[in-house]
Amino acid sequence: MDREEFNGFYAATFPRLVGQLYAMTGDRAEAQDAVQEAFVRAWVHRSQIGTGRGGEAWVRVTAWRIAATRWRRAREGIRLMLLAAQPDHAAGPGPDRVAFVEALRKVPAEQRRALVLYHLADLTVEQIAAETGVRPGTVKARLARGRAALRPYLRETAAPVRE
Amino acid sequence: MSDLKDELRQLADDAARQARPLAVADVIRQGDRRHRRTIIPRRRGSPRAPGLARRPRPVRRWPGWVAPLAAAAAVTAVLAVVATVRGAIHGSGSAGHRPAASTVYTVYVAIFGPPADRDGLVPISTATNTPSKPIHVRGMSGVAITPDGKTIYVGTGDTVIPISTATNTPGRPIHFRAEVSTIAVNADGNTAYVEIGARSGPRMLVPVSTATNTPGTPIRVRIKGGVIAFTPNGKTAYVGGSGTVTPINTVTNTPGKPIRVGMEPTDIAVTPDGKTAYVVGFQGTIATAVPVSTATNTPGKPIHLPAGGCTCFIAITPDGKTAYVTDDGVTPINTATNTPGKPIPVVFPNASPDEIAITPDGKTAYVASYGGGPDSVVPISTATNTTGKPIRVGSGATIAITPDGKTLYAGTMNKVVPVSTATNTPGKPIPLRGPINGIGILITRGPATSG
Repeated sequence: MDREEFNGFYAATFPRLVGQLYAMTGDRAEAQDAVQEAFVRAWVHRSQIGTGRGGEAWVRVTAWRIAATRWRRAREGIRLMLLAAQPDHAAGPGPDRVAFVEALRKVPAEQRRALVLYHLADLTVEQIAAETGVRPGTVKARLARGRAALRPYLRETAAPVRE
Repeated sequence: MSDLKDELRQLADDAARQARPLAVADVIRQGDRRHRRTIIPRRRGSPRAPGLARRPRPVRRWPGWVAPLAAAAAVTAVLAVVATVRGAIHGSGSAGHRPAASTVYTVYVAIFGPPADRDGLVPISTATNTPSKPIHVRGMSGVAITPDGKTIYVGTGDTVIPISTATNTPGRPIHFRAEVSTIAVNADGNTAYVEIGARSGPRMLVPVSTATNTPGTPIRVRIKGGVIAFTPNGKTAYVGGSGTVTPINTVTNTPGKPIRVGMEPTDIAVTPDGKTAYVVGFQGTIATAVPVSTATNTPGKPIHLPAGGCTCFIAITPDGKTAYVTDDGVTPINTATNTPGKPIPVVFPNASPDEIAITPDGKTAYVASYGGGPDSVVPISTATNTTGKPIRVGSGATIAITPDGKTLYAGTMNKVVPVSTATNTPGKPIPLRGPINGIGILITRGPATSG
């Protein structure tokens, strides 16, 4: 990947990845920081990654890892960060959205991650299994549990599982 | 498809619209600098662990959906290991397990859910390495232990609960005006400092007398993420937040003038002689360490750390001569000259070091390392700054060393592993069962790492 390709890759995927990481972590600033740092590492490792979906997955995994590390490091603040975090006022969410965000933050992180990869990144169960390093059955279980936890906040959640 | 998808999409789109990326030139510059500082020194032939010296480093390519770092990513549950001297000398009861003269400690493993009702502390006696009855603390936030090991303070909601380690029973809750996050106990053991405040609002530090468990007047200070350290004499606390470090006189509990350090502090350590507080942190993707003179509370010249972008940890050897900072490698800092040494690469390519603990004799620094290979704890000889063979313990290790220096406890997502510091071999893992089953579903690894 040369400079120009990296530039295009960066511009095209940065906002989307911040959105995905936000949905995964529930913390907007954290999502932005983690994705930013992941792109720096992506440049360092550019010879090993491509600009396609593989490259995007690489950055997403790296950003997730960075965010996860920071949670761990801020371990005493973890509950504040993940569970009791106040909804962001910048987005001006309505009451329904607030309830959904709160509910989402209570879903265990790996379930949330699976939900985001499935619904936002449009990955298949197999692809999620590859990205998160678990078996497809585990991914399915996480998706099911995550959906079940969020069901009270949604009108309808029946969704066929892509294979 | 479903409303779930729509809700997620709207959430993500909001964040995506407000994303503010750095200029690509800055990203590339950061990357290039890191490349020069970390990759090239490693290629020059930094000493490597003998056991790994001939292992060919795999050239990893990640086409399609192979996610190289996924195995390291599983962290929502957090394990904090605190060791406390129980004052008990090992008796005849279980002489088969350890040498008769060994001091017996209790290792408390703090389990943070979710679910929140599984939160709590699991006491483990080092005599038997078996978990005792857990102490449940629903929605636990901060946790800290007094230097004498007699009391553990845990935060939950707007309260802090003192727990006697003699009986493992919670005492009367101490109430605060806002949500409790971090707790830290002063080195003199007289005062616990409790960080309170709504996450987005102003935060304060409330001193609590450990003798009476009554809170004092809140201290308004810039604090974030519980970055706090005390001088060995207990007279001053250094608190990090918002690009500053603020000294607090712990006798009067009044804050001094904030010291600008030019980065977001992530950890602070004070040298054993009490003369210098080392503050580490990052600004954007640049990581630095700033020495602060405790006599004058003035910052010294920032020491640039090679990896950058990290939320670093720092530990100082008992002789005070070297500070080890974990960034993308481990950087030793000569405290006499405040110059960084050559970064010590963690053993696996692409691995990142995390927590660091130094044995009381100062001979070995243990670094929890993850990613790029099996998650492990890597010993570093402080004499030569070379790494030993990694000790495989499992994903997401949090580490603590017993005061006698004999055993390192590594807490992972589903177990605690005792490691002999004499041989650097892991003992039998202590599974964390029963009331913390909830943690199991958070493990993202595939087949469990052996060891």
